[in-house]
Amino acid sequence: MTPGSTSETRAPARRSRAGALALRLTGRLAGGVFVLWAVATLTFFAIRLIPGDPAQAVLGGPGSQASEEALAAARAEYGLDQPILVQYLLQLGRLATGDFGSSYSLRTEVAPLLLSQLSGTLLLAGLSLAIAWLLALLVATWTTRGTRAAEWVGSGLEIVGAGLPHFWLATLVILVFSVGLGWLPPISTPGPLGLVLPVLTLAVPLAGFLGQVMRESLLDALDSPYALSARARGESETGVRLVHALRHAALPGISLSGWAFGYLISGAVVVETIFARPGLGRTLLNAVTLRDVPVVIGVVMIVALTYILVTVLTDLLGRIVDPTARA
Amino acid sequence: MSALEVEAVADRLATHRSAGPRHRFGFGEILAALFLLFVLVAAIAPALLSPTDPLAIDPGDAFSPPSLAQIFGTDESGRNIYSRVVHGAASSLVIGVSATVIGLGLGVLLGVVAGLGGRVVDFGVNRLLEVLFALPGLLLALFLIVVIGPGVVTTTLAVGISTAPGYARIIRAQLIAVRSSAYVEAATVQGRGRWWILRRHLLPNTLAPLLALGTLGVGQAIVWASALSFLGLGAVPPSPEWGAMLAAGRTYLSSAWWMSVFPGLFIVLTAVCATVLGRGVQRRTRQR
Amino acid sequence: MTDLLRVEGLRVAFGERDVVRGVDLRVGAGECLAIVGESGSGKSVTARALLGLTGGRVDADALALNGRSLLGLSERKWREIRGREIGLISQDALVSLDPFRPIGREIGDALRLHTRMSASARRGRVLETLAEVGLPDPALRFGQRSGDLSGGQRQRALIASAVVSRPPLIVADEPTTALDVTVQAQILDLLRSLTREGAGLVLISHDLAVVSAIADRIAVMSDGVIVEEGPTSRVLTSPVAEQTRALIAAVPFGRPRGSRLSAGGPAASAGPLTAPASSPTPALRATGLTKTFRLPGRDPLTAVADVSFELPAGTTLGLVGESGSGKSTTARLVLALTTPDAGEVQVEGRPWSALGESARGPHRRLMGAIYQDPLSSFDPRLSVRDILGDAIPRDIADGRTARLAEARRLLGTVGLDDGLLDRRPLHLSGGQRQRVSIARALAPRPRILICDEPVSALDVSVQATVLDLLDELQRELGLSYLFISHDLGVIQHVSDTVAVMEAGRIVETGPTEQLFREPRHPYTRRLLDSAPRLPV
Repeated sequence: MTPGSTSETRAPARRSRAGALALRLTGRLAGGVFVLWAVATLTFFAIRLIPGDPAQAVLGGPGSQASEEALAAARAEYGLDQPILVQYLLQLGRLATGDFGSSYSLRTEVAPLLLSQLSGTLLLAGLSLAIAWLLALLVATWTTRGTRAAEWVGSGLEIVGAGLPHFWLATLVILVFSVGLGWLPPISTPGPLGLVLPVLTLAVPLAGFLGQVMRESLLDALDSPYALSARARGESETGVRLVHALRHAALPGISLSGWAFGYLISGAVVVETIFARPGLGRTLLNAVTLRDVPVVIGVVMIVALTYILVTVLTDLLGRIVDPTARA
Repeated sequence: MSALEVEAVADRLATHRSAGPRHRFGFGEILAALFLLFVLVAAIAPALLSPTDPLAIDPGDAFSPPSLAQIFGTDESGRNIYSRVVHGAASSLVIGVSATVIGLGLGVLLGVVAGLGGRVVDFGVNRLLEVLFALPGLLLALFLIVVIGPGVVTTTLAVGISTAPGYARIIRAQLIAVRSSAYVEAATVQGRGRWWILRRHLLPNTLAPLLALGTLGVGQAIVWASALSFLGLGAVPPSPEWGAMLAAGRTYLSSAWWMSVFPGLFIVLTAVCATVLGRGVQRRTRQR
Repeated sequence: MTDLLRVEGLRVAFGERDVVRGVDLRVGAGECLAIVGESGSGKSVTARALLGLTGGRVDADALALNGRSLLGLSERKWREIRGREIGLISQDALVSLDPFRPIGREIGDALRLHTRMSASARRGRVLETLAEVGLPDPALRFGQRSGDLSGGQRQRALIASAVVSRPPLIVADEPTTALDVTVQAQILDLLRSLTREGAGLVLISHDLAVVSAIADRIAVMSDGVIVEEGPTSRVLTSPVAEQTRALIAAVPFGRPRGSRLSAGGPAASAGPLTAPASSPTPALRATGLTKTFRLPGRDPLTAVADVSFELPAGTTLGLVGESGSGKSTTARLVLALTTPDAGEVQVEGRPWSALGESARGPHRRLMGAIYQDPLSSFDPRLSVRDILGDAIPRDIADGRTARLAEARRLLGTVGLDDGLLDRRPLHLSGGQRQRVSIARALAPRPRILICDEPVSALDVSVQATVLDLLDELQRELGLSYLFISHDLGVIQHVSDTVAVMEAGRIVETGPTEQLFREPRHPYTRRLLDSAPRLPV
């Protein structure tokens, strides 16, 4: 016997749903603040591991040949002459107020720079996630129709995810649609047309992964006793899917969306670089190449924050789709 | 970093279906194994498959399209791309395998510590994993490159470390499932001690999926390492590493497509074959 | 001829396998036909074939509802029949109703699909039906989900979803199997009232005793064919087919302790077992056991409250109760898998639960355990040989060959062939698994066996052989059993003494015969009244 398996009186014992959701939300946000603190701490001490003068490290490492004035300015800005604990607290304080310092390579404040780059990347990631979801749902629905061809395609979905890394798919779509057919620009121009190839590149492999998972859970749902009951009530196969099965099948897809977001951000670094599209990913790559530490830390913090928000959102969404989930 | 999270979810979904008919090695798995064998031979004894020097320059023969003599064509310096792809197998494979070993090693360590270490340790490891998950794959790798500096060793380390949280989560979940299983309880009733149970039940059952995970992981690790090389942060041209070759070909994409396509094809085929084979191994492990 | 349902020569095949091989059925309006058989007999497939939901290849010489042939109907036509002409009630309402949707909408779906009723008219009809199936407070229930309801309530809701559009024929596939006996009795009453209102009922069950309460006619199914069919009283009192006789013989209720349930094998030594008076100390003594579970966000749950009992050496104590009564927690306390909050367990007069695990470890071999689901209690990587080898202590057999010989001996003891040594449990049948689990429990030569629902997941015929085996072993080895079950029939058959548990407490204890003849506690009386049994 598991404790609590008696359910005669469960209904009154249940907390109101809104209250439970609010509690859950608070808990998740508190957890998010902890993660942000941990990321800030981790990056702070990791940067100290860069050998040599920390002022030099902040300004691009030993090879950067930063001027003496720049080094002095960096020492003053980051309090590098202070004890390390003081530096750490100063850094935390700055990050908490959204002050990410200034980029030596671009000679500008980091925070406004990243904010201006953020929207393009979020648009790219958000659009790709939506399209990947749509594709995954369609493919999952179609490949569970029971025909041989559908089975075959369904079992190959994972290959799509694993076999189309972004840098490869981007190369292919440029070859086909730009070089070969000349339909779309190989470089992401502003406007909707320039988004097509980048979004395609990001969405298709993700749809492979999501589709595979949704297909599995859709098969489960179609095989379930409640689906049998629905059929026995006279529900059509389409009805069984729309009314019952898709809702169950969406659940693991939703819980994967946090991961999917991370996957898209990783992909954005590659895709923005290949399609020469301005955004957080390309800014990050340039900063990494030049060892522009303030920019790198800024991107890391922003991505971590966004990731946390996305996971909180998907968690809430999951709870709306599955009202039986417990707090 | 790789598709490990998908892995974990799909795994949970698929387990109850595992009692089906015994799995046979299919046509696809045999093809996959053959291709991986080719890559392995290329890595160990490239001269066997391609006698030409991958670094030999022949400016008079630059940008030749694929032909019978040079089946993958030549690059901007007239180097034979087939030969470069074959000779590049070693570095790609070494990076992929080493990164997977690092990732799996760290993952197993974290997962086992979390699963066995009691509530406080488990809580701590879980928070650590949460933090690492907030830095999605490539981001963590890029950050490590900032700290250590670019290069092949960094790439390997970065890919390894950024896959570790995914492995750790799978191992931990597996360990907890085994720990609370009825057969561990039955062993307790028989009067078996903790160490005996650990040795006889917990570790073997927790680590049973490692072979499959490793096979799947090598494919993904090669892809991510190639991505870093492609971005100019891993192996650098003219070394015949697949990602670096792909990056070098990018400049000439519109005129010499073969420079990008063939190295890319090898990355992708390796990943796909590893996935197909890994899945096969996984089904067999489950069905015993 | 006023047959509501007429089936002739129904055949269902999946690939090469013929699962149903020529079944004839007739059901009249207001009549209940029960199809009884063991798992794999094809009874559930037959039930689904009546709704055109089997998959596989189905054909028949005749399949007619109210004189209208259902053979060769298009899927579209079938959908008009399902839910309107034939309703289906299946086993576990927790999963047979969509757990994400309010039950009101689940029930209303049949109306949405088959009528042009407005949403509010549908709601009215659903509320009406909820009241008819005996769910109190329909308006509240309408918005709840299956997980919010108790087992009995949600089974009523599932029935409501099958009958809401008043189909003339109802197919019920094991409708009470997941339920406690008291709830089962209520649900059977409800099904009976449906037939009184004129519906025809096809009741599928593995349990002859359950269907005997409401069936007008019984059809016994075995290996895809109906081996016997007739009025209930005739089938039960003068069965013709061998399979029917075996089914009846396997029912443990009312069969005295020590009598054999399965055919074949040596006859049991005559007469009831008399406890060997050798040891005055009880094998097991529990005093004032209490265990409370505290889970975050929930009220603390006292699973076991002040439970005391004694198990005299060489006898069986039957612990009976419904789900959630605390009997499994009691088993875990006795096995020292959980520590009691209060109270103590003593084994052979010595402290047990009070010891630390390191002090108790060496003595654990005194006590073995067998479980409801033996498969999950085996490490899936290990073969039978390894499972038994692990369980044999070194002082009984040391070294490879000695252990192998001992493993063979153990298999012999539980009546298994040693050809099974290299099999993994996954590839054994349910009965074989439970025998291996008994062999494992016996390996260290224990004096006490804790049996936690050991036969609940087995077919009655297999259950009979396992119960007979346990009985033999007890005689030969002088074992003491703490036997836990929800099944009064099994408890009555195996126990010398019975303890009845309700809500964590033992409400009545007594010698089996006396307790069954003159129950004192109202709860015991209620259990006994609800327990399905064959008319004598």
